[in-house]
Amino acid sequence: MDFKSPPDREYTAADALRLPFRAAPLAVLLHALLSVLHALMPTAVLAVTTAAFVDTAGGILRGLRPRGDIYAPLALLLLGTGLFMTAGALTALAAARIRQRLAQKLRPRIVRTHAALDYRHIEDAAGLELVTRVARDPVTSVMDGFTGFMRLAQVAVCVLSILALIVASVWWAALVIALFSTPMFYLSLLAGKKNYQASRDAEKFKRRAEYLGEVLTGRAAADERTLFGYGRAVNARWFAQYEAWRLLRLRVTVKNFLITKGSSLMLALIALAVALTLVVPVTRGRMSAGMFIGIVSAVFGMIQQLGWQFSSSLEQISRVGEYMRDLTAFWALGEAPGALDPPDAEAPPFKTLEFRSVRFRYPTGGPYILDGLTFSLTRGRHYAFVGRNGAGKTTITKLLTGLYTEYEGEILVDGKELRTYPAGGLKALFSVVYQDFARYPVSMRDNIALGDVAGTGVGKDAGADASAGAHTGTGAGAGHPTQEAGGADEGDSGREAEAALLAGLGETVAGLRDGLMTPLGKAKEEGQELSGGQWQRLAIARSLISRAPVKILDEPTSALDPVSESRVYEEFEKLMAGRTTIFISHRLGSTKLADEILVIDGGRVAERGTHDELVASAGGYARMYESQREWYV
Amino acid sequence: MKGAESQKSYSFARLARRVVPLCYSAAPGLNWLGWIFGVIQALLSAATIVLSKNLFDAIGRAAAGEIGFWGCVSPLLALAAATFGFQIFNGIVNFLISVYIDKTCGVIKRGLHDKLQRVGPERFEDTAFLDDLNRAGEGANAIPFFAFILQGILTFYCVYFAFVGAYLFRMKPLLLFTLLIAFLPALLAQVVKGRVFTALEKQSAPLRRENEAYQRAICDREFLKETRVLGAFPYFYRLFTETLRLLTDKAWRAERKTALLELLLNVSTFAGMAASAYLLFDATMAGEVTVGAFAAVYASLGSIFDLMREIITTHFGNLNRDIGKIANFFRLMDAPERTRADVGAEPALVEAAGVSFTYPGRDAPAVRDVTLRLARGETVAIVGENGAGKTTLVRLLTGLYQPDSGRVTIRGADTVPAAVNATASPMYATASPANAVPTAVRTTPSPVRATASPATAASSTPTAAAGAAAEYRGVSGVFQNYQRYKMSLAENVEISDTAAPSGAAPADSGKVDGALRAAGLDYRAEGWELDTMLSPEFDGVDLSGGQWQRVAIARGLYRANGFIVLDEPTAAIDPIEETRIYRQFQKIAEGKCAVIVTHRLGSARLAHRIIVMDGGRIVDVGTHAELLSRPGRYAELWRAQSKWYDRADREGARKNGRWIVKQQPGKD
Repeated sequence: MDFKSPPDREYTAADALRLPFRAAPLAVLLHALLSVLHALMPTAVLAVTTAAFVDTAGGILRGLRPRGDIYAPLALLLLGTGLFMTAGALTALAAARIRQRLAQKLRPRIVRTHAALDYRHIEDAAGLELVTRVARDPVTSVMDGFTGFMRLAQVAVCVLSILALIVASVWWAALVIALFSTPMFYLSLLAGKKNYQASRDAEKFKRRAEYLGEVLTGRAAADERTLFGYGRAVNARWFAQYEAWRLLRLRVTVKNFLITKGSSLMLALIALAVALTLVVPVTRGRMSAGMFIGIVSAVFGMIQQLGWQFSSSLEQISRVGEYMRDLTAFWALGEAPGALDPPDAEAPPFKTLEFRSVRFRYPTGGPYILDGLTFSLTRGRHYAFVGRNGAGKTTITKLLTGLYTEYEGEILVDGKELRTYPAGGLKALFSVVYQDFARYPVSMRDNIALGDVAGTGVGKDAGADASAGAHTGTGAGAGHPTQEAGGADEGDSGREAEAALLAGLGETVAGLRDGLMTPLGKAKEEGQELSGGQWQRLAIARSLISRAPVKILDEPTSALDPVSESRVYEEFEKLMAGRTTIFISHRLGSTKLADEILVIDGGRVAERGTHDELVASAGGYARMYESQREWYV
Repeated sequence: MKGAESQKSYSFARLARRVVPLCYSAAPGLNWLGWIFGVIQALLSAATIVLSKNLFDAIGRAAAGEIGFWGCVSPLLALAAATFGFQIFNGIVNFLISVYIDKTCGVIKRGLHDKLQRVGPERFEDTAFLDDLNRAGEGANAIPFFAFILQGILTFYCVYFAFVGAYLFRMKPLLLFTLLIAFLPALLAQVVKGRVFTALEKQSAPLRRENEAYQRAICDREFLKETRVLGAFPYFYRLFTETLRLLTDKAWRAERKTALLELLLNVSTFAGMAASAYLLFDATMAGEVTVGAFAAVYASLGSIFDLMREIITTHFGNLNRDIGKIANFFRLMDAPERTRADVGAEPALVEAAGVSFTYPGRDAPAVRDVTLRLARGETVAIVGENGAGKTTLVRLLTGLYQPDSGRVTIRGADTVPAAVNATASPMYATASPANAVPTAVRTTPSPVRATASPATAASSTPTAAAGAAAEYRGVSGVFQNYQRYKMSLAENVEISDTAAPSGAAPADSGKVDGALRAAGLDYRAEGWELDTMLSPEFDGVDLSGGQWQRVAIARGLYRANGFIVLDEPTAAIDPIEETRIYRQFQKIAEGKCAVIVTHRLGSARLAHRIIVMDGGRIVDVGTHAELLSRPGRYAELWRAQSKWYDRADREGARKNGRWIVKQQPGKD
């Protein structure tokens, strides 16, 4: 299990020890050593040194020993305390080191796997939830488990060392202790498990309360909340859910409380038994008063913390066990081959693109979205796909770009099955402006250049440049570093500048503080935000710079009114003259611009032809068109 | 205006004075138990030191043969009893804390929710407010814990240290002082540590934000698809690992610095402790204290130091960490509230005069100087492009937003009561008995503060909330961003008029059914019932966008209204659905005062009047025919839309389209 190759086995709680060890072996060893030492100091070591000191002091006071004898035991006593006090800081140092190393190895590993996941997991609620759970804070999850193990080890060392001391003096005391502590250990384990199950039940109420809380305080519902004035009623419902959750949890806490407190009382009872049994050897002179005092103070001191530390460390360990189970499942999700590959420098040659009786439904189940879809497209023409919501238009783009491969039927590029093309080839073939296009938090130049990774080399040299920018991200000097970088780089961003200009971003670029080099979005302090329309143009610029022969424009309606939408189509069509384009829309009208319109309905092509032909044929398209047109006559 | 003021009025002492009574009233019984048990716990813990000494002395004498086995048993049992007692009370206190925190937290959050119902909805458009709100929510979580720590310090720690201090002082006065001095370095270490980490947080926050942004650009659902298809992974992965390295290295360096510092200071603390031990030893040798006392005190030195460190590191650290959030909470609770007189009864329904509105945190006004009058039974359509200010105007007309200048009246009543500026509005007289400060700078009249006891505050809020509901009586709407409540079908509809059934009578299912029918949702055909849950997340069904739209319309209809606002949904509506919605809107608007916001000019023709907006202003008003007859924005928009539906030949349309592109380059 290193951080490079994908693991192929089940992860268990023990990996909370193994992963940190792989990341930072020396720090882990140091941590373990210090933890053990830290546990030993206030118990066994203190007991022994106290014993030596008390006995010597007693001897001196009775005049049996010279006064000078006391200094050695005193020094030992102080040394033990000194070590105890300083070990804590060093342990924290080791933990910090482990945390640093673990973060640097584990997080990239998880991000890489996440990025390469088979796409269906991303669109599947359960898969997404698992991924979110795993990726949220892996380092803290693992480190909590690690600490749990360390603390458990401390408990063990503590108990065993004291036990050893007792056994060395009075062997049968060990029997008494063993008799008491076995059921206690068992009870604590049980508590940990029960706890986990019960908190799962309570979770349901909590989720509902959280949702209602969101309705009461969130931004989205602000208008309706105010106008309808339902705050009071919903708040009452929220409180009811909250109380239900709280009471359920209370029941768990009560049980848990009884068990943990029961175990520490048991510990106290053991201490009492030990102390009582040791009185006899003292009165008979078989044990020194010093030894008795040392052991008893160590035992009573131990109770104060152990009862709690024992059960809480077990709980930490069982929690990391759950995390590791999630991690195993996460790694078992499976990666899509070639997911992380860059597009090939040259797109595969193509003249036709053909769907033959393609059937497809999402792996989460449900009806067939595409149900016998058949059509063929020719290079250099403009197509429009129209149809109502949920007709499967967007699904077509997901199949084309290789996000989903489990379809029935054939998709042929120049007569060759799409699935036989390597991922890099497909990426070079299509360029898509998505409905929910990405707003990358990097400079405008890089935002555009990412449209042609192979051609602009943005993944390589520009990466170094951008990370240089990252150094200045502390916000020390907002103006000057970008200035020189901008001056040097503006020269070789000719293609990006041209694409920006073509996409109608000329004025926007001129208005930005550092032109094309201005970081966008909120990632950096000095980043600037664009409007929805500007982002959309940026997405189009990204498609313009791409050398892919097929350009797809997928329902850019989210932020646009019909007039603006038509404008986008018109411009896109103009800019893409001579290329193969596919517009996907449910708005008619501007689709007139296409050479051919394909009406998708029920997962297949219902009609096909030019606008005029379709209107003349008086089918579904004509009906849709009429339903809009009637408002305008 | 807030900065200086907040520094002044949210000091530690003031916050503590507000937190304690707030938490007390949430759970008085638990509070009392906490105080009493805290003191008992402290006494038992202090007693173990004395009792250990007694035991050790007895053992010493037993070893010397002065007393026998039974002479040792009673001091041993006394020590055991104290230990048992401590364990029991400690357990109870720990148990009570978790009960207390959860319970108090619920009450406090309920108060926060109530308060938010009385804050103007326009504030939710301001990201700074949302950040504040977020932190206030965290503050609400932190408050019970804060109160508990304060309580713990006052009961357990103070009592424990007072007793132990007195005991040590009696034993050897100098001992107490050496111990206190020994503790100074530990205190210093905490201060420095706090500073280092504050500085670290300040430096790493931007770096962390960047790092998280790159991770999102790779992994988040909204990015993943495009990042993969573009092949942009190496680019972002590189940025991600780069920033991750910087971030973790920075944290490591800060940790190393503080750890080394702490080590140094621990050594000096230890020197102090060694000095105390030597003093004690000296006293023992001089016969001033017994060997047993030495052993007992020495053994407890560790736990004395642990407790002191616990106070400083953990508790003060937590208090320090939470104080900002808690201040945020109270600042929000003290924020000025929306007040509005009840709707009047005059016939002229809605009137706006010279109304302007700017969103908080933005420069340009969204609506400028709009004057408009809607008569009873009149339907008005508002048209214009994205960002023309249509939705904002609608929010102003309904009274959801209050204008920065100008006034809006509904049935003769101003949406901003004149009373606010003169005396406190009668509706909130209970909540703000204090001073008559203008709304913008008013900071005091939070229910929590004004009534001193939040229990009464909580009981006073329902009237306030009921008042809030009354404000908008007779006004309903279907908004562009209508909500998809994860509740049952009936609840989704009834939520628009929760004041009506007043809890006693369960909502009128006939009325709900009627509203759904009128909205055109045949739920029975889908196999749903009124109590079907509309959310797969809570074991319910999933609705399509069109179905949700109908539920939202039913919701708007369910609420008794004489004035309704219908804001057209832009996204995810196909042509057939769109046409259907227009027809629905028309039907609803009949005989009412109605405002329809629409993108499709064709549908606007059916209104009595059309209002054309551009750049926040009304640029034209008239009937469809009037507007079309004169050159202007409306005519332009009409041509731009209707050209697609001309029977004219296709080439013409194409040319026309191109021409428009040239006319408006880069227009957004």
